[in-house]
Amino acid sequence: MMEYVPRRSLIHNLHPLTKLVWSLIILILALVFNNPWYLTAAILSVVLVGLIGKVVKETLVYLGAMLLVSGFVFVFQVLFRPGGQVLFTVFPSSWSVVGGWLPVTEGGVLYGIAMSLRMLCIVSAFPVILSTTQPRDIIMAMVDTLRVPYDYAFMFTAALRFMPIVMSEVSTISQAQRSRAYAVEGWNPIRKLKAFAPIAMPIVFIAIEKADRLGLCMDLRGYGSKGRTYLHVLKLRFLDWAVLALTVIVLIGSIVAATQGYGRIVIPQK
Amino acid sequence: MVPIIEVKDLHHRYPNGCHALRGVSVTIDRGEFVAIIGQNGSGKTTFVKHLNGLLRATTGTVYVNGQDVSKHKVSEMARVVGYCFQNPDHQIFCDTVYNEVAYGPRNLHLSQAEIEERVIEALGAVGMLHLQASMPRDLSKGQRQRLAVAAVLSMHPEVLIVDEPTTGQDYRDGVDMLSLVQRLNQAGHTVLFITHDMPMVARFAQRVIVFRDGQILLDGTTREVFGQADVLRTTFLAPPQITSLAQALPEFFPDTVLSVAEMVDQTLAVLQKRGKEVRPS
Repeated sequence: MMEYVPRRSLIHNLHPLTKLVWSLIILILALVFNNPWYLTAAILSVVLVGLIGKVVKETLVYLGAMLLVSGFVFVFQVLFRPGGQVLFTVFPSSWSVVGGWLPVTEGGVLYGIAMSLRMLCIVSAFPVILSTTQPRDIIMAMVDTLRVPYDYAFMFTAALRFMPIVMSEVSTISQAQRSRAYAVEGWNPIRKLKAFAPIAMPIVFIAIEKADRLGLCMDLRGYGSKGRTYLHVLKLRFLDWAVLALTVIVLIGSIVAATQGYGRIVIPQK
Repeated sequence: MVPIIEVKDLHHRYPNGCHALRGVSVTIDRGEFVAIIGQNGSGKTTFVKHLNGLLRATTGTVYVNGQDVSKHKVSEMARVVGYCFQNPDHQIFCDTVYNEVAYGPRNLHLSQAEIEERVIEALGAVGMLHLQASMPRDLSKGQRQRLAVAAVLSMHPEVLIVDEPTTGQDYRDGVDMLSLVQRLNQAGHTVLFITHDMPMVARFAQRVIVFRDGQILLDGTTREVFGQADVLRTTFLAPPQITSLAQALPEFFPDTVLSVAEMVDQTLAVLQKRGKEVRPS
């Protein structure tokens, strides 16, 4: 799971808002272009930023995990959005009844590649932001600059912070149950679902307990009392303005290029 | 006879690079009652997690009951090694105490009659037979901890590992818990327990293994280990107060004292030798 990685880097020093704007622009780029090469370039640019931020390993691990999801996207697009020349069919046409079903087409493959890369591109900026920005700074940026109510900003970061805790509890629970000869065996999906209970039940109880305790701790530390002040106030500095200017230039350039037809390919559709 | 646990030059390095065990070798015989002590992060839990395969040796060998642990799944080792986690809430998930205890034996695919027999036996051992229809979440912390032990006992493991059984409990629950473990030891189980509670160690353990920085610092009978207060101090451990008191008066107590009763006996012996007529109250 994504957690803040305390290191010293250019990216760590940026204002969270700068990084949010950057990720928004990556998102727009992913939507503007559909040429796989352009999308790959955009993803590589994010990895480059991760490299500058000294979190390239974390970024790649996350992208590796997301590759699985984009693999699903690819398969679904290939199967259910046919178009153009048929390359082959999943069920060979010589088979009776099902023969010729699920054609894999040129358009489907292209669209599948474009969509899976697009998804990967959209999510690629998250690990870089989350691992180079302290949660409290994200809250500050949301509250101070974006005028998000503090409660909502806190909720957002509390949820982010909760995930790694839950994952580590799941790992302990899984160890405890394996020590009692817990093992998921075989194929049977109902048995698999039942096998989930020994892990799921304890984690639900523990999560509720932890959430309850968190709420109590917040109360005890004066959460919600009137007139909140902030210890760390973030300011946009020269570097932020420079990065913002650069990203906006890239954005405008990309939109102009896209209207001229660059970075866009025509994908045949049935 | 083959020792129940035989560990040779065990090293463990976590994926994050932490070198948690640095060459641990130890042999434990059947029927021993061993306390494992040491500071947090000294490698105690990492060590015991190798005994049922929850962690795999980076280098070195671990044999339990003559079997090479590295060649078995955790679920297979569960027949030999019962591991009670520190927090019982990490394992309790059933709707009744009975089902909770029956879960392990069911995983071993035993017959219905055998499962029933084992559940009754395990619940009897922890003194919770009358609670078999209760909901585990309604039990007290001490009861839940005993339930966790019963849930492991019902699998009839030869080795019982208990991780910090007394932490967070009051004195009485702690003594109850360790008395239970002691009875199981007397019934034939080999017991390893991790603890920070030195008076409990003095009272219950026969053998003590002290970990420091992923290595074994001391290993011997409880008396031998607590006799070396200066070595223990290097890892911020101290013998029980009664032992320290005796060590502060070496001319009266040349031998290591582990309990108030022992101190009384030795005091009386010294006084009688000096010709004083003393009678304990």
